[in-house]
Amino acid sequence: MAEKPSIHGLVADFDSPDKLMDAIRAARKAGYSKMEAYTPFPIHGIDDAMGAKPSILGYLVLCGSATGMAIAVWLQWWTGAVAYPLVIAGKPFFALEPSIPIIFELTVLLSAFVAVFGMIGLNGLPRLHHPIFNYSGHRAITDDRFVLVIEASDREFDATGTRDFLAAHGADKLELIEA
Amino acid sequence: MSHSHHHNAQQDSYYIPDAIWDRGRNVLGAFFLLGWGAALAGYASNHDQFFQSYLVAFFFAFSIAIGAALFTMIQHLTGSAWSVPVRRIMENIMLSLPVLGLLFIPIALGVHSLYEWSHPEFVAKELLKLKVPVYELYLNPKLFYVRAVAYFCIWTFWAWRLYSNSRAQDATKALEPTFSNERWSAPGMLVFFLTSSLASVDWVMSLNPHWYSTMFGVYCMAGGAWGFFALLTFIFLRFRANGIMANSVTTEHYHDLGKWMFALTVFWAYIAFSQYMLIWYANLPEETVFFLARRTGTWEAVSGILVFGHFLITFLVLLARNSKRTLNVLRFATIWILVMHYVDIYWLVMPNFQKNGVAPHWIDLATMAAVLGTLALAFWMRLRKVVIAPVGDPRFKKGLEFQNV
Repeated sequence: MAEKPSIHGLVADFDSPDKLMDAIRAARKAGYSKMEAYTPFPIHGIDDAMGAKPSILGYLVLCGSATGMAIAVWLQWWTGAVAYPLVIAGKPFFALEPSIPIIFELTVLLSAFVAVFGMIGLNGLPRLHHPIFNYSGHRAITDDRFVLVIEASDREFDATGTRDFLAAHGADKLELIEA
Repeated sequence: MSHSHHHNAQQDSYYIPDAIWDRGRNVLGAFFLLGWGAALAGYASNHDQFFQSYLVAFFFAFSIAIGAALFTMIQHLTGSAWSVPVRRIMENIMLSLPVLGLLFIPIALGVHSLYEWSHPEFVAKELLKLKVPVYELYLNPKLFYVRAVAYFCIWTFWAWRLYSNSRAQDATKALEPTFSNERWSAPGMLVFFLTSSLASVDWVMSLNPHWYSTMFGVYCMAGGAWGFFALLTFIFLRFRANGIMANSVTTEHYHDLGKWMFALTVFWAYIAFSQYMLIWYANLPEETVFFLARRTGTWEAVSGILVFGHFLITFLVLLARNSKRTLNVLRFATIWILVMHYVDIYWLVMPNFQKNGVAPHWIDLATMAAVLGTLALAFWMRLRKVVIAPVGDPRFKKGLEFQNV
């Protein structure tokens, strides 16, 4: 017996970024908090309007850079002064001056890794499917449509009440999508 | 978009109100007069100290003016919109270059107090050791003056071209001056970089004619551009406190100015460290002499101030996004950067004279007041009753509306 598919949320489709922004602000004011917007291009101020929290990625990158820095110092000290202490051109076994370029490089390398892979991870990627693809008009989101999804798990969510609310705020297409 | 906070930009007049201008002129005029009074007293009491202190003050201001010229041209070349509201003030800092031509006169008069190579006895002794006639071909007072005149003619011409093109748009809103400035900026970058590099060799590197570094010019200009962004930000924060362009230059613009200060903090450190490491690694006596002098006695402490104060502290203060968007933090950073840039120039010049350790002198402050007083007063005079933003630039509106993502 097939289980009844649960609802992911309600899609509200708008024809302009201004209408989308107005609807987001109204929805926030009405107490909705679990929402996601899909647009063909970045819209200034949309994160603030949706109340998105600042990403923690910056702090993760900071940890990555500190790790890279520590590994580089340890690597050069251990190889140069402990494991293979060779006198080369009368230089000390370990000195900070010639080590800094490698410290810099490994700092940048690990920062970049954490930034790229952290960004992918925090975005919930990789994944094979997303409920927004269940929306019949999802292709137009990469073209000229601006979509707001209010998720069914929101405390304020109510299939008919939310639909009326978004219709009143300029959505010209509304659709419930499956999870 | 209806939610943006920059809609009030139309409230700004882009003129400095007469009452504020008058007050500024009185303050800067007093600064100018007192500065020159003190500097002349310094000259009377100690010629050599006067010229040495004056060179530090002059080069400090010069490097910032060159930074302004380079970045004015970069804005034209990249077609930046974010910087358009602040660009007229950039241009006005760049216009310090002709004034610096006049302020060069004391250096020309002090050649014998400053430069060993200007003494025939020194050159006669050196000639025995050299294969190339450096002093006949390059480092002699006559050519030193010729080059200085040439530099200032070139810089004045270019600065005037860029500025008058920009001004020509104010009323007409014509596009042609924008294209003209783009055309002048491409060769201008090359010309300014080469000439300012040569000028830093002439005026500062040749204080020790035995030492050379091919990175010296870019080192000076990296610090100068850094100081320039600090000064530009400082000026706009002062404007803001007086209600001038306060609705036009928003947190978004300060954020970008902060990014530039941060980027140039790193760029300066990159250049400074590269120069240091290459010399450290080669370990040749004729090259290490520069750092030896700066790691001896109390000069080592000044070198430490540069590593920690010029680089590390500024880096940490400006690293976070929020600190670049918090105007009180930026205000602190601008003053900090300008002080550190002064320490940097002092560190380049003074160890050539103060071999027994750092010896600050009241004439250092007097010459700074004279040079900065002159340039600040000239800057202020240029802003009287004129538009202080390029309101006719085709990207002006876009620049006002600029937002960081």
